[in-house]
Amino acid sequence: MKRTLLWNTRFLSAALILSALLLSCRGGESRPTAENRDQLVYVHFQDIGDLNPHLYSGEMFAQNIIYDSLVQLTESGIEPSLADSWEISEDGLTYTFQLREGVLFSDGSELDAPLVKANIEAVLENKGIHSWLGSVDLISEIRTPADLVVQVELTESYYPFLTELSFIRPFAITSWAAMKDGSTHRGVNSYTGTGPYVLSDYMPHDYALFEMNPYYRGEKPAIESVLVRVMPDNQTRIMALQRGEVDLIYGKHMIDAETIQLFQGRDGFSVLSSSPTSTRHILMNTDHPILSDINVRLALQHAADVQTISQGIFTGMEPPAHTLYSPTIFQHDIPLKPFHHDKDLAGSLLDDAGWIPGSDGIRVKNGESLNLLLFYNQGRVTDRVIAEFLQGELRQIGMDIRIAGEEEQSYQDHLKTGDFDLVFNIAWGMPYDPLFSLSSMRQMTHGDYAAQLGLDDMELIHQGINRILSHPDDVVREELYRDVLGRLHTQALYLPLTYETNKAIHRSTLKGVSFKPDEYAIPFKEMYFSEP
Amino acid sequence: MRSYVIKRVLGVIPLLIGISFLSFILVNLIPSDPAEVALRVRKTPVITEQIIAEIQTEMGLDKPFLQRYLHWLGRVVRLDFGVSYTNPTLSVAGEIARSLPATVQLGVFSFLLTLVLSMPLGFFCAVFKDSWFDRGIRYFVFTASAMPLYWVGLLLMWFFSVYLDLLPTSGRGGISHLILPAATITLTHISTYIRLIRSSMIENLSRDYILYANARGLRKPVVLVHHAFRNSLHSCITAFGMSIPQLLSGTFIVENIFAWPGIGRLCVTAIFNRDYPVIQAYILLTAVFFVFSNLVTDIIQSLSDPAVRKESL
Repeated sequence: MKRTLLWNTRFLSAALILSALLLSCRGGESRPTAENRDQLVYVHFQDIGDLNPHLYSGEMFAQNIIYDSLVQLTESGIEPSLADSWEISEDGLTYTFQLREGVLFSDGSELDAPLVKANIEAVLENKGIHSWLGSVDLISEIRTPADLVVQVELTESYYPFLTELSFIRPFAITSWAAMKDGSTHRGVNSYTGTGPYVLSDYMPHDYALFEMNPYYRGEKPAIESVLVRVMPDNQTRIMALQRGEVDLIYGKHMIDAETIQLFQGRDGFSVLSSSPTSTRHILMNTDHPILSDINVRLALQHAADVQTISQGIFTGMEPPAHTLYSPTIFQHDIPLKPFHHDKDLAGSLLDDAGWIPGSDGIRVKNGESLNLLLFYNQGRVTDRVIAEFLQGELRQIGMDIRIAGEEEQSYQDHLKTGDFDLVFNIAWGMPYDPLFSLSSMRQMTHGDYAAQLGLDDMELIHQGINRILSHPDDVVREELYRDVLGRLHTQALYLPLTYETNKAIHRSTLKGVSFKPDEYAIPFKEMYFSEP
Repeated sequence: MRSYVIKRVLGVIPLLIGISFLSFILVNLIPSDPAEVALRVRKTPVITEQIIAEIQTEMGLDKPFLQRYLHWLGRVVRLDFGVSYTNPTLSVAGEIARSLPATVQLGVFSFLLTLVLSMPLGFFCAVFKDSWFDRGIRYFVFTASAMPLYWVGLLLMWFFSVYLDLLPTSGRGGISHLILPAATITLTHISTYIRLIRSSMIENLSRDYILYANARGLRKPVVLVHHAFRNSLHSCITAFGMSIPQLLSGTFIVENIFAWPGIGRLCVTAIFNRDYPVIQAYILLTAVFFVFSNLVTDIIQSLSDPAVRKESL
């Protein structure tokens, strides 16, 4: 009995000491908090990842505040960044960049032409993963005629070259010390750039602290440090914002319509929504026996009540979409006639196509029911709600829609192999639309390619896209856009639903929150704290 | 006793080999090509057949299945689980080593809290069976077991963090950060143990040896604590023992809600991102935790109860 008592006492003592040790192991550690008003606390749903400037796995908002590229994309178009100016040869094959003088990296080293050359070459070394960029196949030579002059030679004229250079990745520039053997293919030694902030403290899946880059060439940001806290759960993010633990929630996948409603008009908080960034749509497989008939596709277009989807499901936060690209995304004036909501017209289109209402209300043709399968990605909850709404709507015109939620990988496999009747999809978004999403339509691994296989003018569409990518003349390009987008619209294989928008909720004391042309960039350096 | 322990330890070896094979084959049974998954996870904008082939070679997927398994097993034995698909700069072993202390901290704290609360509550419920105290605790137990963990966590967060402004909502920091996630775990575990201890105590109190102890004139606290309670604990050892690996393998929901950077979070993130090397390592690690906890629990039980030892032999 005594031994047991002794053992129990020992066990309890050990347990208490152990728990005290465990509790104290981080208890005394000081972590940056939101108390310091020079610090902004931003909450993100996942870890910042690998911030190698030439790869894609890191979070773009983080890469954007660390690195700069030769040029940058602004509201007014392409503007200088690390390159002070540039010249394009008349044949469109040679780009000469004059670099800014005295630009320092966060490690104190200086920017020069050989380093820019090494950075571009590092991207080219990993060509396979950059195949979405036309320029990686077209760059034939990079020369450095002077310390601050870089010349890039292309094998053929490619007008989006400057646009590609302006993207957050992969053409961002890092320092020599950060590169491994003069390259970044196998990783980097550090995340060193010329941007306003530098990563100073990082705990994967917990937090990342960005502090002001002491060598930043531009105007010093008012926010000295940005603490990124990782909170995967939406409710937690909301409560952390309510309690003042975080100052800003930003991004189109971070905030749902209910949260917007909760904070709208609430004291101490501000809610912002951007103009459309990308288009949520349903892709129709024109190679499918039923959907190969344009009348069926048109019937779907006229039967879908996108106004109700916008108001009922997104409480108006996502405006209804009538074309594949929002007029605000696409700057050219290309008039495309929207398919207005008209169930009677949809019904008569199906009548014309030979689909006659059956005894159970579902239309039949040659003994076959008008039955289609709609896939959605299980990860996108709202897609299911839209699917269920459409299912009810389409049943009223005699169309039977079955809904199948697929896990991400399986969903992607369906898109890639063209194994779908109807599938939810989202355009690439700003600043990649329309050019780069059109460009990707030519890739066999994309759902768009599979969906277009049944079109008679598929080849013409792809030729048009090829010419858009290479033609140097703005007027001709506009004409080509008119032709390609006109054909895609007339063929009615894209059923536009809503235009996604970027959203932000922040404490009212935080000022300067806005949206940039690149939907993935967060302009921390323009933000500051001020009493309302 | 020694032969019992040797027999149990030897039995674990084929089990571990089987587990390693299963955790390897599970990921390989997924119909999608792991190379393509890795590219997708790394957010490669356009995936071409050429780049898939390159990554297949880089990952050794072009080799025969058995060769890949043996190569993987060889690395796993050296605790090398490869690198994460989502962030190739992080090794899986490093990620587990980083996440484990957070989970251990939360797990141990929750376990002790559960132990400290459930033992006296279960004990008094049995002693004062059918009293207002027993009935109150039983209502609490029913309510607590009916409440989903997710809901309890958010409710506690709203009440203590937002409404009362007493505790931080989430994250890992000082003691204050630990209270809400630990309370959530404890609330959902405690009901099981209270019921277990209560029923075990009630069963023991009706046994002959208690009658005999009372007849010997032993003081009531001695009979209750040193006889009834002590014997009741034997039946709870297995349950307690199995809850340790459960807590160490991470409490997915709680870690996710409270942004607690532990093993559970690591695994959920890996599942959402289809980060196969992390998932594989997690399956293996969790299975090993359970096997060893089971082994240790069995040995402890056989030490404290010779009948078990005898039966097993």
